[in-house]
Order: sequence, then structure tokens, then C-alpha cells
Amino acid sequence: MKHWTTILLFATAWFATAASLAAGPADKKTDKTAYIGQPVSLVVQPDSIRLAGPRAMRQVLVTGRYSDGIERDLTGSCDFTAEKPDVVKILRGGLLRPTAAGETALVIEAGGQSARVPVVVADLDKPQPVGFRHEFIAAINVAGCNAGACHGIPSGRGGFKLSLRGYDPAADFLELTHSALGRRTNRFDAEASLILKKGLGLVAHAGGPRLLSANPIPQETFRAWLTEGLRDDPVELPLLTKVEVLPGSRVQIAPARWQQLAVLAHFADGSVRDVTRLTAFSSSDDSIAGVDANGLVELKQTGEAAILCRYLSVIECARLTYLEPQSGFVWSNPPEHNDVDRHVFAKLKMLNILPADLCTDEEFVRRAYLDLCGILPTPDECRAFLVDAAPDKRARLIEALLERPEFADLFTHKWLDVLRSNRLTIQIKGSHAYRLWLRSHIERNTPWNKVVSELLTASGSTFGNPPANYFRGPYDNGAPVVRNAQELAESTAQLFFGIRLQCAKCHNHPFERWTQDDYYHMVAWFSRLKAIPDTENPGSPPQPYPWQLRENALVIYSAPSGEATHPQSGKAMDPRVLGMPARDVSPRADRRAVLAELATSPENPYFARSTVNRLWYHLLGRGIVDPPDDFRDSNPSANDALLDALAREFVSSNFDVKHVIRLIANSRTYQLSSHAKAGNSPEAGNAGSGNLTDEKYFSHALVRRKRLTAELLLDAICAATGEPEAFTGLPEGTRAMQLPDGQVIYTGGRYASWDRHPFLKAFGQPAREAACECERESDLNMARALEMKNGEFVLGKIRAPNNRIGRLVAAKAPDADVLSELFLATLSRPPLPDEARASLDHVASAADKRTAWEDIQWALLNTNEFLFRH
Amino acid sequence: MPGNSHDHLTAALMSRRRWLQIGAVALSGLDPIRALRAAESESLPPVRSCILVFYQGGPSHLDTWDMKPKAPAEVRGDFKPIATAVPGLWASEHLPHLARVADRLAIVRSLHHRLTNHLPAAFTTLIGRDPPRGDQLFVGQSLSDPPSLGSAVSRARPAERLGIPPFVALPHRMWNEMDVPGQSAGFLGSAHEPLQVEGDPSHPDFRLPELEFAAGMTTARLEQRESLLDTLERPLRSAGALAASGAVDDFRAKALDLLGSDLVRRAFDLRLESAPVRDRYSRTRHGQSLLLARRLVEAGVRFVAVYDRKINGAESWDTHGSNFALLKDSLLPPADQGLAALIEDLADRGLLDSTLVIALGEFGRTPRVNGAAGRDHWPFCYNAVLAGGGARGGFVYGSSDSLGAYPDTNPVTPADIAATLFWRFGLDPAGEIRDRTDRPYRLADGQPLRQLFG
Repeated sequence: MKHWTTILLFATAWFATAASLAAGPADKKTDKTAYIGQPVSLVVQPDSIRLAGPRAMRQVLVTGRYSDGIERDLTGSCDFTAEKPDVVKILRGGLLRPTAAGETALVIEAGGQSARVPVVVADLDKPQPVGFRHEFIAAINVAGCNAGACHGIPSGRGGFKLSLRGYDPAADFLELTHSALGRRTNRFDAEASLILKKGLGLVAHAGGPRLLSANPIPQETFRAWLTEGLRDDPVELPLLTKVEVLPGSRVQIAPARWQQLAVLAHFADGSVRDVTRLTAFSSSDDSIAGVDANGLVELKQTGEAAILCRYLSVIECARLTYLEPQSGFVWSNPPEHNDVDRHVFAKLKMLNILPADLCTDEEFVRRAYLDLCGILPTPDECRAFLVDAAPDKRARLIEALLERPEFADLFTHKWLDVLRSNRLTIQIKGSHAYRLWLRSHIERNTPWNKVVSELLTASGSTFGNPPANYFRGPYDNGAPVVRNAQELAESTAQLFFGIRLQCAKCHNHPFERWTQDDYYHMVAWFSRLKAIPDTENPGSPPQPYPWQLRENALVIYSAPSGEATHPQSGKAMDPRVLGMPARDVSPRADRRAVLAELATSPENPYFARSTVNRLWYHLLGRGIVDPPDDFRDSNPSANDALLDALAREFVSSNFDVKHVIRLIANSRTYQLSSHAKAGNSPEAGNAGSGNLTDEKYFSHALVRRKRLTAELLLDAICAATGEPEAFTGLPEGTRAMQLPDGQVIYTGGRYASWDRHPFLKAFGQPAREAACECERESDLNMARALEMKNGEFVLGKIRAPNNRIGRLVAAKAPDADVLSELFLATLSRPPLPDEARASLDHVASAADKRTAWEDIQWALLNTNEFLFRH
Repeated sequence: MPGNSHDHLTAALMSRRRWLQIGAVALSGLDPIRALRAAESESLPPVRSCILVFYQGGPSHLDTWDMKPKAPAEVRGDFKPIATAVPGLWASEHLPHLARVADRLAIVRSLHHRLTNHLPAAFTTLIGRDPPRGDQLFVGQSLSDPPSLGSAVSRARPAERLGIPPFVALPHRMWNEMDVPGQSAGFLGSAHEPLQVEGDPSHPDFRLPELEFAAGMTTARLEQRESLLDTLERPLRSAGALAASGAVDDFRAKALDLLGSDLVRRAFDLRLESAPVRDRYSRTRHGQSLLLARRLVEAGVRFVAVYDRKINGAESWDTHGSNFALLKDSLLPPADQGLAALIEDLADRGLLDSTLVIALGEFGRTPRVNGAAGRDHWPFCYNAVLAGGGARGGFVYGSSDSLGAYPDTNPVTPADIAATLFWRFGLDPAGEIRDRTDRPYRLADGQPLRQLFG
């Protein structure tokens, strides 16, 4: 018993430290009174409590309601008393535990209000063994022993290997009870168990004393399971059916900086258990809300955060918003053009952020051409728009741009990136066919659910039926093959639901709700796909090198059998769509017809939302959920109402892409200036009410996120200088935005192959190997900076004899006109007076005029005004 | 391109104001690696730099550092062992220079893996992980693959000084029917790509094209252009969003960093070395590459990769035929002289303790000599030579069996070499790097070879 004392001493010291570090809600009496204020009523959850069994517990939540309609969590600051104090013990933070059988009531008082909750304590004499799966594994999760950086890594740590976050309890049971000669767990002397000694820090442990936490329940659970003799669960263990987090979402207003959470687990036998202390908590944004081991959230600054609550493999989250109203904040009340503005402005107003002003016509004309058509307006187009005095000219321009062929080019290009159109996989003919197929749909504005259905169900020749290219994989040792079913499951989830499923391939997703079962249910849609060579398009014989194009086609078809088997259980998984109920699929039919229906259904919780979010991302530079193809609980949207409204519009318009783009482009939100504002009351030094620091809620145009992408930049440089670029095998005048794929330079020679255009490569054009928007780089680096200032491509365009400068000089245009043309062609605006003066002086003083104009063109191309969409 | 025009440019660009701008941007742009803890307190101070010498093609271990004089003739080969500065440590007779500095070398004789093709073997050597699709003939490094060792160092240990590229590769990009994997940043993105040198440093006209002006440009004209740009930039610079984001100045500053970095330009200028020093390394492409590597390390470059020999060239380390003639006449002499000179030179300059030198190929060669007097691919047992960075001199780690075919004691994998490298940089090999989808990877999968140090 000697080490007991040590443990107690150590533990006591630790708790004392932990408690003083995590100063709870309003400890001092005066603070407490101010914090509680004057509630008009108290709401207590639950409204009656039954504690059955010696280890029962219940987290109580107390919410104050106030006369102005707001709610405030008072769990940590109210006074709890039990009418019969010997029946229950009330622990810090509102946790109730049984001490003696009987009935009593819990009395809660705060701010002059009180509430009474009946409590029954029973079954204290009945044994209540620790459940291995429902309690012990949960305790390991909370302690973090099985995290990816610790024993949860496949190779284990220090010879001790647990399944990542407990996804394989059976294997964990064996590892804990049998490996390392049983040293880890000792059924005769619990305290001699290595897992306890390491967890308590009594034996050196690289991971630290994981069981010494402000939350004592994991340690208690470890000890109880060991003392009870390492019991496995009974065979008829009820399944976990649901996890519930209280409160699901809440807006708290300063000074209400604290929120206690409660987590309830529902089981198939109808039982409900409080698992708050067996839940692992984490915050999506620690700068806004931090959460401790007991589920107490500290709100730190105005903003929104999701608190992820993981009990076993189920993740639910609480969405919390915290507001610190700015004194003197006056909402500027800008006009709302449409529903988009209603939702964006409501959020900005709530967060006390002022929107920027409307952008100027010069800014708008450039932005609209670049965002909707991927081109710069010509000098004539700029002038025509700028002199137009009609009040509806912006709406008319949007309408006109949506009908231009370049609109179809741009949006086809964006989708081809993530649909992985790449001739090294699908051949030249395939890449052209793929592009033309998609472009014709986008040009005709085919309902998007139809396009996606056509893609997901495509069979036949990859040349004859282009969407079948979605299923063509890279060569496998010279043999043409269908794309791997797992890759197809991953890319389909990412492209059409915005969900990154990759992590769930080998284990339940460590931070998200997706399990390995979900993954293989998705794989099952594609497990029967096969490919054979297309005899009508045999191409050349197999080549020695995989990058040598054969120009052959494949025929994609669905075989009558083929299953996706779960790697753990070895069971064949039935096909299911993420977030949708299971559906019977006829045994021999092509499963993909059902997939297409479920994937694009109006009931699908992800399809419409992820599609509108992607469109928003392309136009605004940042998704409402961002990254735009990364929907997950720990990455909450910046504006749920906006996302829902756009998704509703998309569905009710019969998946009309142009309708959604039109709605966004006509909104005042889209047309806000990039000029951020400081606070509206500068005399108060109140920067928080401006929008300088906002990068998330669309209070102003986000310049930083909108560097001209590789293709956009190449085309813009060609347009500005009036000197087009030639691509191998494509007609003169082809823009980079119209390329079927990236491999456009023929390098020939013994190792005949294609390469990407060096400028496009340098500026982050994706190789189209991944179905992820993240493959495109749009940041800045040294090579890119040098390329703009000193690169052959840029300097070549500026120097070309018959470029815009050459033509203007040859036509003997007056200097002022040349300058105006260069400005309009490059920056879509005329020069400002001081710019004109400096530039004209430079030309006048130069020995060679042509050279001087080249200097000006160079400078214009290197301005940030040119390099960014603003 | 006359060298001194850079000086004017540098002076013009590096006014005090500019330096301040660059400093501010660079500092705010630092992004310390997540969950990357410094290794627990070690008695050895961490290294500042690493020079990786990679003998592309796979040098024979049996004819260099793991000779088997008692083996049958078809294994033993033509060469004889010679004594080195370390009693009991024997080297090939064609490594006289390295034999002289053997008391500074730590030899690993039990390195092994299972990849028999050049490309996957280069992947595992230069990335420290097995290629995803195993031992195929054609293996590249895609944008979603893990980074090369140099790129990972660039990510985890940014350069100490502004304007210094963290990762430089020279004197060419390796090609073997396709781009050899392990030379790129993979999922870390283009910010961590190496500054790639293409050129022969032993050539009198050798210079770095990135620091050269395009045709028709002069210093004066660039200055004029920069000042015009300043005028035109004014309207947008006042915009809060841009000023707040720092994007503007970041873009410009980074270009200036390199165009204006005198330190880098001088580091690349081998004419600043004395003739005896240049001779010491041998006036070969490889010898002068190693000299350049030393200059780059002096300038603060974190990771220099020196690739030796083009595999599609006439004489490479891939000695399927005429192994002994090739080694003796063309492969070993510059490798021997250059590496020995590098180690001595680093030591003379007090840089050896802070610079880890690793020299190896992607695999070794078959113990049995084939009918063409060559040796074929053999990844199951081969050598690596380490020096500096606290490595124990004259120390041999691991051993092979009597034929040099398989490790006998203390087997080591390329992943262990990778872990050793990061560990010596003061990084926990179990620390995380994340790919574009935020999936975490360990920095290295192996275990550091702690016994080799201290």
C-alpha cells in the first residue's frame, strides 16, 4: 500500500495546481453577482435526476433567462444545495454523484431565482462493473493514450500498440491483457499495472502523467477496470445509437464567458448515460473558445467556434458564438441587393463588423470579367462600361458575361482541374472530349444534378462517351485500367459532397464523424467497375514508358459482381451514400444509377451545399466553408444561414448554376470594395467595429486570397501586352483557360513526352493528380517573384515587336493615348494624374520611346493591382 | 554578365527601408512546424546544416568500405584493402584520401532495404519512406507524395538568414528515364522546392542563372523600372486590405531577397576561392560541387544535396559492366579526393561539428561479380559514410555477413538515416508534418542512430 500514499500526495498536488490554473467562472462573490446579473428564470437540465449504481454521475446544466430574451450559462456560478446532503455529493462544476440510497432534491439558486430538481439515488449495493467498450476505451480516449502521436500509431510506441482512438476494441483488449507478458495490466494487484503507473507518472513515461487531469473519471475508470479483474464485455452489449450534446448551440454575450457542456449517450436498449467525463473535447478555434477536460468552455473573444465532443467513435459538436458588443457601434445599414446580403449583413451586424463600401466601377468591371469569364476587359469594353450611366449597368454586365463563351471556358477549366483531366491518364483525345462534353453542359447550363448523374453513371468508350473518363485510371505497367474503387470513393466524396474521406480508409477518422464503415460503403458503389480496351480505338501498341501516350480508349462497364470488403471484419459492405439512409440495390444492376440518384438528390445534405460553396469560393476567394472541399464538424461554416439559403436556391431552381452565380454576383456582398475600414468611431480607437481584421465573414473583398491563378495570369499578360501565346497542337489564339489539360508542351526526343508550360508550372498550375482544390497553388514565392520581374516569358511578351506597344507606336499614337491604352489594357482603368505625369515624363526623357514604353508595361504588370483580383 | 553590376544593384535595392520591409514580412511569414518538439535535451548541440552526397546508380560497397578479402574470388573482386588512419579499419586501395581522414568517418555497413530498381530505391533513400506502390521500374514523386529530406528540412528549419535559400541541389537535376524521385518538395508545395543548380561548377563561366538578368536588361534599367513601379503602386498600397495582408510587400521582398542577396551571389562565386583550395577538392565537376556545397553551408544554407554522375551518361555508378575499371579510373578518384577535402576543409574552418555530411547511393551491388566484370543492383546490404555533426570518427556501425550480402548485426534502413538527420537538427523524428489535406505524417519513420554520435 506504500505507493498509494505517493499517488494521493501527487494527485492532490496536481489537482490543486490544475484547479488554480483553470480558474472557474466567477469565483469571487462580487464577480459572481455581476456575472449572474438579474435572470428572470432558471432552467435546469435535466429536470429530474436518477443516479443508479455506485459509479453513476450526472452533469447538471443551469441556464439563466433574462428579460431581453438572452440566455446565459450559470452552471459554474450558481449555488447548489441538496435538501438531504448525505444522499448526493455535488462536485465542482455541477457534477452530481451518489453517496447513499434515498430521495432528495437539488436546490439551485442564482440572482434571486431558484429551481428545485428531484433526485433519486438507488442500486448502490448492486455491482456495476466497468464496461470495457463503453467506459474503459472511452477513458483511454480521454487520456489520449491511443492518439496518433502516441500508442495509436500503427507501429505503436515503446512496444505498446493501441488502435487509433479505440476503433478496434477487441485488438486493444488483447494488447492490454496479454502482450508484454501481461505486465501492462495486473489483475491481482491493480496498482502494479504498468498502464496505471505510467499514467500516474510513477514510472517514467514519455507521454507524461496522462491520468493526472482535472477530470478524475478516466483514472477512476482505469483503476476500477483493473481492480475488477480486466473484464471483457458481455456478448449482448447494447449498441451506442446516439450522442447528444447540451446545449447544441448557443449565443452568449459578454460577460457570459463560460459555458458548461453535458454529453449524453443513448444506447439501443433505451438507456441513456451521462458520459460528459468520458468525452474528449476539442475546439475548432482555441483563440475564440477553449475547452477543458470537464467540458467547461471558456469564451475568449468575439467569434464562433465548434466544440467537438467525441465519445467513443461518435462525434457531435456544440456550436458556440460569443459576442462582446462594441460600445458606440452603429450599423451602417447598407442597402441589401438580395438574400445573400440579408444573411451576410445579419452575421456582420451580430458580430459588430461594418461592411466595406461598394467597389468603384473600375474595380467592378475588372473583377466581373476576371471572376465570371477569366479574362481582362479590353480597353474598349472598359470605356463602354465606365461611360454607361444607367443604374442597372452592373446587373446588365453580369448578364452579358454569363452568356459569353469565356464563361463556359472558365468554369469548365475549374471543374477539369478537380476531375483530373490529364492526358497522361486519359490521352489527348480523351482530354479534349472530356472538356468538350463538360463545356457543352456548362454553356447550355444543364441542371448540375443531371451533369453529375451523367458523369457518375457513364459507361462505354472513353473517347465515345467522354464522362467515362472519370473512371479511367493511370496505366498500370502498361495495362489500361479502371480507376481504383477506393480512389473513386474518395474523389466522389470530395468533389460532390465536399468531404475528405481519405483518413477513414485505414481507421475511423480521428477527428471527424466518418468511420471506416462509411468509407467502404462508399467504395462499394465502384467495386464492380471494369475496363477493357476499346477495339475501335486501339491506339498504338504498348509503349515501354508509362508517359508515352498510346491514344487508345477504354470501355468502362459494370460487372455483375465484385464487392468492397471491410479490412477489419472482412465483410462485404453494401453501397451507401454518406449522410443518406441505406437503400436496396438490385443485386446485378449497375449500382451507379442508385448512387447518382442519391448523390444528387435534393435531400442529400451535402450535394447542393458543397456545390454552392465551391461557386462562392471561386467568386469570393474563400468558401463559406473553407477550404471549400473540406466540410467537417471541426471546420464550421462562416455563415450557416447563407450556405443554407444558397443551397435552397440551387435546389429550387432545379440545380441552376448560373442562377446561383447571378445571385452571388449581383449581391452587394460580392461588389464590396477591397478597401477595409478601421473602426467607425476612430475617436474611441475602436478598431473592432471596422473590418480590418475580418478574413472570414465577407465584410470586404479578399484580395490576398485572389492572386491571378497560373492560367488567368498567363492569359492576362497576353491580353495586356497584346501578344498571344502558342501551345503545341492547338489553334492560334487558344487561351490557357481553354487548354484541355496541363500537358501542352511537346518535348519529343527519345523519351517522347509532354510537359507543362513552364510559366504555368511556375505559378502553381495543378498537375491534376488529386481531386482537391488544394492542389492548385496560388501563393507567392521567390521563383514566382523572379519570373515576373526577370523571367523570359514576361519579358518576351513585353519585348515582342508587334505587341500592343509596337502597334501603338507604329500608328504614331500620341503619348497620352498610348499610356491610357496600356493602363486600360493592363489595369482596366485610366491612369491617375500623378501616374500619368510620372509615366509621360519617363517617356519624354527617354532616348528610345519604345524602350520607355516597355518599362511602363513592365511596371504595370508587376503592380499588385495587376497580380491580384481586387 | 559582369559580376560587379550586381554590386550596384544590390546597393540600390538594399536601402535601409527595404531591409526593414523584408525583415517584417519574413518574420511574420514564419510558420513553425506544428507538434514538432525539440528532441529531449541532448548533450550534442544540434547541427546547422547538412550536406548529402548522393552517388546516383548505387556504388559497390564491396569495393569501397566493406571489402571481403577472404571471400571467394568471384565475390572479392580485383581491389585490395589498405590500412587507414584508424587501426583495424580497412578501405579500398582506391580510397587513399578518405583512408587518411578515416578517423573522422562513421561507416554504416548494415544499411539495407528491399527495392531493387533505381527509382524506388532513390525514393526511399532521399525521402526516407517506401514508395507507395512498391518496387516498380517507374516511380516518380507526385505533388501528393511526402517531401525529399531537403524539403522537409527547409520546412522544419527555415534558413537563419533572410534571403538565403534553405535547400540547394546541385550540380544538376537527376534524371533516369524520368525525373528521379526524392528531389522535390511533394506535398509541402513549391515554397520548399530546392534552388536547383544546373551547371558545371568546375567550368570557368559557372554562375547561377537566377541571379542573371534576362537579355537586354541592365542594372540601370531595372532601377528605373523599380522606381516607376513604386509610383504606380501607390494607389493600391493605400488600400487597407492589401496593407493588412502584407501580400504586396511579400511578393516584392522575396524577389529582392534573391536578386539582391550579395551573400548568395558570393557563395556561388567559386572564383573567390584560392587555387590551392580549389585544387584540393580536384578540379572536377564533382570536386567543385563539394566545394560549392561548403561555401553554401558557410552562407547559411541548411541542406545541400550534391548529386554525383548522371545515370544516362557514359560512366555512372551503375556498374553492371567493367565495375573495377570504371571505379578505379573514373568514379572513385574524384569521389575520394572531393569528400576527403570537404571533411578536412570543414574541420579547418570549424564547421565540421555543425555540419552533418552523409554520403551514400540508393543501394549497393551484388556480391557476385557477373560475366561482364560488373556487379548488379543489391539493396539488401550496403554502406553509408557519415562525418561531422558530432558523428564518432573511426567508428563502424553494423556489419555484413561473410559475403557482404546481408546485415549480420545492427541492420539500418534509409528511414533510420532520415531520422538521424532530423534528430541531429534538433528535431523530434516523431514530430508532424502535414500534407495538403492536413493529414499528419511523422517527420521520419525510422529511429535515430544515436550510437553513431557523441
